[in-house]
Amino acid sequence: MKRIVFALFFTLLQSVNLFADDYKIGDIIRKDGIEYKVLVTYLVVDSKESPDTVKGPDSFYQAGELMVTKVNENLEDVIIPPAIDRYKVIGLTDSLFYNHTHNRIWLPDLMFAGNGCFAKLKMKSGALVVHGMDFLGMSVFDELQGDLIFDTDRAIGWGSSFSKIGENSKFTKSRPWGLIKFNTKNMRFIKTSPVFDDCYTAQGRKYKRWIDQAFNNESEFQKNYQTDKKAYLTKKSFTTTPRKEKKGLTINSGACNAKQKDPKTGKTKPFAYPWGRLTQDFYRQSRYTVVNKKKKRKVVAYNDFVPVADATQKGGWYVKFVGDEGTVKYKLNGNLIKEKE
Amino acid sequence: MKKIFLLILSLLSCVVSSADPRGVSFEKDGLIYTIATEYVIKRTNMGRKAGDPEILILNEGDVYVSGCTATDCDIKIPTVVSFPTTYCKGKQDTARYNVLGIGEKAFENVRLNKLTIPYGLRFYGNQAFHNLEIKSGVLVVPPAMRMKANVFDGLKSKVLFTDLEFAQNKPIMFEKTFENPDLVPDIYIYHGIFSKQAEGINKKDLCTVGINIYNDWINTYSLSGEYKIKSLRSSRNNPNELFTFYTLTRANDKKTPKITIRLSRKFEKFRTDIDMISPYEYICWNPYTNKKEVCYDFAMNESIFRYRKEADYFYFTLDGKPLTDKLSLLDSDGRDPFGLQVMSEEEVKAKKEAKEREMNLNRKVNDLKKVLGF
Repeated sequence: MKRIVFALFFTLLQSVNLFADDYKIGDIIRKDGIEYKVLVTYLVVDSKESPDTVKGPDSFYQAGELMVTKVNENLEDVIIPPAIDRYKVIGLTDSLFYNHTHNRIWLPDLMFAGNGCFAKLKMKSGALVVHGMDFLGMSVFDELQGDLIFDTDRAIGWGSSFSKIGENSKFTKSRPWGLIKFNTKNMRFIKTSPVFDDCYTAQGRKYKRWIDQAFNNESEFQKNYQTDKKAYLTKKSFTTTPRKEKKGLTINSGACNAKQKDPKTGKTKPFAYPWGRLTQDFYRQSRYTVVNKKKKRKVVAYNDFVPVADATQKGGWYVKFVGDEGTVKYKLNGNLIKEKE
Repeated sequence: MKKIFLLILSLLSCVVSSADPRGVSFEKDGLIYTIATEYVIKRTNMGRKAGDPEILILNEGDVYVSGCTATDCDIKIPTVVSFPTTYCKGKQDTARYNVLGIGEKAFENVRLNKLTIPYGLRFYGNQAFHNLEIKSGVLVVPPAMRMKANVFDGLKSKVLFTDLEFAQNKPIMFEKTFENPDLVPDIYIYHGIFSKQAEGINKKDLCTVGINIYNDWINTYSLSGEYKIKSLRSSRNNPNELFTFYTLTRANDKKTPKITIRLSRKFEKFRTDIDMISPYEYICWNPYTNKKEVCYDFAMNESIFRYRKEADYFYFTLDGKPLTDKLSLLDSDGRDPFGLQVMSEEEVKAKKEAKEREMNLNRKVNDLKKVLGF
């Protein structure tokens, strides 16, 4: 009987992915012939928990962001999931698919694709489908052997993705060999794009036919997003006290581009995406914005967050943040804990 | 078989003179045209040289493309086609026809390297391009005022709709044009002016292309002179408008009442395609007889004019005086001065003999009267 109860409990926990591994920044995760690099980690609560149930440090789990660094060339079909456990896949490194040949590639919504990411890629299905993409590197689709379908419903950061790189570069052109296609409904997102004058659009049945052909008319292949979405069960916004109470902290966790200080002006500004060179030392860092309910309008951002168990505190724990101005500790009700000298 | 039949039909049409040439087909440069209407019109001889007449009486008309006999070649549909007329043979026996549209199944099961369609056509008939194969891969289709049912069904090439905004004054009528979406090929328009072009069309039926692709297709699959033709057509007289002309001898005489003949559209159904083109009738006001007549088959030369009312033909001098002696106008074959077969040869012979007998008889009676002293 105990075994059955334990088995049920284990299954329940696993279903909400509580046993996901913790990784350090820079770690490599290998799964299904694809390698991912951990860019940044941060603390979240499980999405199934209400903010009111964050009882202590044990309620927090590590989440983070990944970049795809390698894809096995022998894979016929490549499925890049939107997340591995609680780690969201946010980008593709430089030259990830350079000179590869694949039948179909499924991509999730991504933040970036590195320089020459799909350069000289041969698509056996005849087309590569790119969903949401915030930023593109240089010559991303250089000599892509197939059509390029932007199945996006938001603006794309085109950058120099369709600009020609110098003659000495291995990227000599900037465009795919095939056609560049969009959904007519989303034309407003491409009006300022470098491919507006050179693209084809369709909608409804005709657009669906393009997408279906790109995935060899296999609807299951397109459903990967829906099936893998369950793995990404994180909640990035939580409070230290029940939401109804007019005290405590509301914490939003996530990541941002790291900032650098301009020696001339003394001001800090974010790094641009370095694409494949993303490491722990540069560019991405965890970021927690904290809103004190007593001072609602004041938002303070910190780089590190540590929930600390402390029996002397009310509720048995307190929160510690590390920012540019040093370490700050808060009680659960939002009051500062002053260090005793 | 269809082509042979049409050829025979067109040959027959040349042999058998018909007053109403509508529906008659002829072939020229690989295309079969069907005459939708034909009329006589007076035009000022613009740019004439010394000795040339000031006024020209011309045979004009409207035709539509009803078939194609060519295969595996480049075909360009002209805006105007000239062909010997059977309608009104005066000094000019070649009529100048405006090409108004593409008829029902005109290009059915035809294979061409390239097809160039002019701007300003009035209609594309039902299944006009049914199973047409264009080897170049793109068919550039300028807009027509009426797009009939299933125009593009089975077409084996991409379609580029051009200059839809050109026809904005008169909205294009789509009549079940995209009824069978599975049979319609990819139809593209320029996406820079999508909102303007797509009026009246289900946007889901259309794809769009950028300006670079659009221009590339226009330059490759259409003739560069097409835009000139477009502007030329727009500056021409609109055949739908009424126009008036006067008899030649009295044109400058302000005091004398003038014979006024107005060419107007007649709404009558003739054939499926022709019902989209208005046939013409003539409204003639004759101050000599002081009558206003609605008539047909009007024809005119330097001395007389002619029209038909119901089954009978009437002839007048240019002053409007009726010519009652029709027989004297006919040649030995029974044709009038305009080439119309009014009577058969035997009939003319018989009538002339009868008239001659009557005249002889009258002469003899008169001679007898003189002899007898009456």
